[in-house]
Amino acid sequence: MKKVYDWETNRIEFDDKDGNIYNLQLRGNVNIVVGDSASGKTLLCNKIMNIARDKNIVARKYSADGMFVVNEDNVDKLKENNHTLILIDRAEQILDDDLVDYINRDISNRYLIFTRKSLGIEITPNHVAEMREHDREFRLEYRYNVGGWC
Amino acid sequence: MFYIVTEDKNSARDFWEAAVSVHRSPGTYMMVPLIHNEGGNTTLLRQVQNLSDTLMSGDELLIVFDYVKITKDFNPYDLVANTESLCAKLGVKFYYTKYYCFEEVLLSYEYISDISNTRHRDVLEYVNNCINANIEYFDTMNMDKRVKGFIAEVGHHIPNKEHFCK
Repeated sequence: MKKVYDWETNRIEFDDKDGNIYNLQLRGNVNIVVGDSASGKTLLCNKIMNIARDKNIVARKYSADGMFVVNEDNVDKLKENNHTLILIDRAEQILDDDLVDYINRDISNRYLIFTRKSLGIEITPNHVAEMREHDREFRLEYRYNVGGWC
Repeated sequence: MFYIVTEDKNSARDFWEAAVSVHRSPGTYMMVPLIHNEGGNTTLLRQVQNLSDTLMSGDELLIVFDYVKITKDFNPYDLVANTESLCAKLGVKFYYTKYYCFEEVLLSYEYISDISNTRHRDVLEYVNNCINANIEYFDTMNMDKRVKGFIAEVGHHIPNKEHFCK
């Protein structure tokens, strides 16, 4: 059983039963994904949650160990994570100022945040991406890779 | 015309004006007027917006960041992306500073360690070497122990690169 998220390579990689491939290379500890609706962001979070909930240990191909998908129902558990990739969809609806401050100070977890507006999460422009799909493969496309902006 | 957009007077505006004056003749460049000397990165966007009606094909535009991180009040990602589109449409050459914060300009100086009076010389040398080798010196997941010790001593609850210049 393969982990969906590899902490060493900072990459999300899995395929689903519909033939879609997710191959998302993250940069650094906090990544923000922007972009239009219907680009697959919520679908990605739902698929990872389904992997996490799948109790069929024999049949399942992937494990979501080391990942935590935040939603309105479990946002109070965000701070309980350690050495975890935390995914937050529709972050502008979920995160308040206290959580944004927490994320800015957190050095023990990594974050993949989907949002349509600036929230005060302090990152370099190098870590802002859009999710794109080509031939059923979903990837993150980064507009900037400026060496000095790391 | 070469237009230079900076933040407020305290964000190295004098430095950049001096630097440009070395390489460009008077009358060929302009420091874009500040907006009532407001502080912060937010003025960069407004200055570019004010300039947009003036820009012509063949002009050049430089945006000077003091601190390039995205914050609650300022989004350099959007600023650069939107200005790239605007300049492409107008036939304007667009440049932007490629350091993280202005302090790195100082920290990259070859002899910074020699001219600095600090007991943190080992950290200064390490940071100087990293900047000039284009190596990240502030990876919070794999931080060099010298940097970690320095940040711990500085005691800021949100560590960032600007601490190295204080």
